[in-house]
Amino acid sequence: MVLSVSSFFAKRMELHLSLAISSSSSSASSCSSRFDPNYNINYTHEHSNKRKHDDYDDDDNDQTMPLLVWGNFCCNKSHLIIEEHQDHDGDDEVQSNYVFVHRRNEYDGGAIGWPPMKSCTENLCQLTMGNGDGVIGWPPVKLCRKKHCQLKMGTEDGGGGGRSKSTYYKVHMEGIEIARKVDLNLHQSYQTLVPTLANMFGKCFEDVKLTYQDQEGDWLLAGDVPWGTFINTVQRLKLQRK
Amino acid sequence: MFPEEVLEHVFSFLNSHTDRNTASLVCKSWYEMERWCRKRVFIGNCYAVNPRVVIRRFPEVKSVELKGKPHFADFNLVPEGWGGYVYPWIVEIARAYPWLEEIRLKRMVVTDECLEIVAKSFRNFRVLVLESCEGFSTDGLAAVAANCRNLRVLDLRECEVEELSGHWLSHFPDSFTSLESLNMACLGSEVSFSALERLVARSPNLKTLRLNRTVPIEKLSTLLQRAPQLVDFGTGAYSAEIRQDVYSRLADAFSRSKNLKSLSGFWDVTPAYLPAIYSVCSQLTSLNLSYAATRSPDLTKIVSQCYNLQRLVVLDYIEDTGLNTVSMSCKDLRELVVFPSDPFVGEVDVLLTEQGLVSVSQGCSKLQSVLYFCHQMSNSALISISKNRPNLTCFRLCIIEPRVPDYVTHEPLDVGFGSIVENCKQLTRLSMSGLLTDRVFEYIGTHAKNLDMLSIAFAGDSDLGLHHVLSGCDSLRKLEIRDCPFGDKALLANASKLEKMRSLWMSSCLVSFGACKLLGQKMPGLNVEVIDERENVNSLPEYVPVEKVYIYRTVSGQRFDTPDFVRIMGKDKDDLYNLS
Repeated sequence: MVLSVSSFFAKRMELHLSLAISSSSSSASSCSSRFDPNYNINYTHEHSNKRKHDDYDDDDNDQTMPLLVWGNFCCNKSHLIIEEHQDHDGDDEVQSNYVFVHRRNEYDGGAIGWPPMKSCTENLCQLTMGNGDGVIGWPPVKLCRKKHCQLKMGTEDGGGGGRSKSTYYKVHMEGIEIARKVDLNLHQSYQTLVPTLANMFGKCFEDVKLTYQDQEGDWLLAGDVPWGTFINTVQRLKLQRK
Repeated sequence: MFPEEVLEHVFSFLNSHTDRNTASLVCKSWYEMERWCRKRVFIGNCYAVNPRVVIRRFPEVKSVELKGKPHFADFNLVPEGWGGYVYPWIVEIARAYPWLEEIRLKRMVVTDECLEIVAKSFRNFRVLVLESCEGFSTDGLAAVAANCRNLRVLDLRECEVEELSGHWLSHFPDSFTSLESLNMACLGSEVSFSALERLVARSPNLKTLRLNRTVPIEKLSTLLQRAPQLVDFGTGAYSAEIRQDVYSRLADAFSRSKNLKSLSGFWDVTPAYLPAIYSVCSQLTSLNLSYAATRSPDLTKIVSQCYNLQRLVVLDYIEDTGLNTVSMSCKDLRELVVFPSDPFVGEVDVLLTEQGLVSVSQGCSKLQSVLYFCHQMSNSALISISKNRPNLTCFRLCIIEPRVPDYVTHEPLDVGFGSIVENCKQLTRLSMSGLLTDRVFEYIGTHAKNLDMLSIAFAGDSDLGLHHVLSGCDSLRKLEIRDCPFGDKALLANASKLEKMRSLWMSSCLVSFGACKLLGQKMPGLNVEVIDERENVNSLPEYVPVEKVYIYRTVSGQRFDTPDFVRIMGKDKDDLYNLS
């Protein structure tokens, strides 16, 4: 498919796309003055080349009319306006990924841009990771499977009885990497459970609150439901700082 | 020029959709001929075309297959209410195709009303397959059971069904004897066992029977005895107190099932009952133990006897030792799926590592398809796998912790996955995980020329990564990306590529509202759907990245069944340019 492009369109692209591709790093309020002249030349050059041929062959025009021409600015950092408060602590991989970077400066003088981030990837991590575990939709296991396959293995029994389920549950403490396990069979109420868990991580029970993940994968506040319900649906535990 | 009858006869040998599509492009008369004799229609994205357009082109269709939501809906990334409603299609095809025989739906919202229409509209209806669908209840199933006199296949795969009662099964009339395949594994409610038994007894052509959890192990032998012709059997909950009589009857019933080739089910396994299946192991070509939470020795004992196994689905409880046994015993293995027993936790309790996969790749020369969840991987393992199995067509690796590097060298896994795409030249599907930089995408763009579907998560450094993929992967049709630092540039620079693909999904990336709008404006052949549930979304500036964007090619323009958190960008009259 050929997008027929006139020079009028090319100009429109300048104004509306507002690419921040300028070898000069000084900010200017007008969009078009920041426009990389090389970019413009390449674009119309390609276009005029195509005009020489009478047939527009659909097959080989993948590169003909992109909305951006890649080659002019990929990886050439001097052509990119780097976000003002990006921190380059030895992380050479960081690049600005925003086409509209200069617009942000127009809006607020670059005081608080979006996102207030150190590096793009770290923040993406925070966006989806919530409290540091339980990333939404990760690992990619269907819900029907997640519901069934929890780590409540039957213990090996030599004979008799069907399945005696282990009642050990994993518990994480916010900010502490190593998880612990607790045998819920030993507890009949939150009054004994919470202090036990808090002690495991060297905390006082008054400084923590207990949350748990139920069979649906939802995280809930323990204590909101009766103990019996909690015991029947709990899959994992997490202690959080109050 | 061939007479029509000859052409029609020739076309009757063309069964694949792509072949038929190609034939229809040869010339006008072939197009006309082909469209009149096309019996099966496959629509990979229900929003890519209007039902009326399909009906107008193909008047004699007997089988319709539709897909709705994007793949990442399986992992709860598509909010409820997004769309994928089959109702408009059902209404149209009920009117247009009274002799329709088959409906297959995947990831669509199917209501009871839809099922009722299906039940009453098609006199020769035979096959209903609903995969990962939702929106209906057991009442809808009852309508199908009661009215579809010629039903052969009722296959509910991992659907979310509102369970009003198990009584639906009893709606199959006594005169109903045509059943060939029944898969009710995803249902939770108990059906009347006597109704089930009678149904099985009067269905001489029943080849597939997949029960749900509620059918107790004690009753399995009864059913197996009623259906010695069964080829594909799924047990219910495979647990009970250990009783010799129950065990013996079950083992005996299995040993008489000479036609059994596929086994599944095995929820809540009591290991002592597993040996009951030993007598059929050597017959099996497909075995799904992925709900069997039992340790490696039990699983290993089973697989060691499955000499003819082609497909194995199992939990990571099988461990490296079990997979080593697979590599030695299952020489005909084509497909391996290893699911995580505990997908939530970062700790490693289970001794399944990359080594298990390496052994299977070494020992099973026909291995083509892999889905593997594990906690660690190395470049050298990936390189070995790629060299052992250059015939891989589907390679999906999920290292459970995001961004985990090569556990030996601590480097990214670029080189390993690069080796996969370089050596496995027929690779059509790839899912990656672990620590990956832009480099891996360069390898993919360079080598993965047959890649049809690519899934990326927590990978890459910059737009260059996405650019490599979009510009290099000639055969790419489905691309799904989450949590990668890919933004506007690569997307806009490769806009025309998107029209050659079925769809692109990007969530938690860096694609801005403005770029989405531009893309929607400039590309009338694409719907650019921004899926964003933030409350203040209408007041966000254009440079802000969207939460999720789903871009797909369509000939039917924008859809009008969107919820408020979905915006189809760039289609408003106000937004459109005046190109003079």
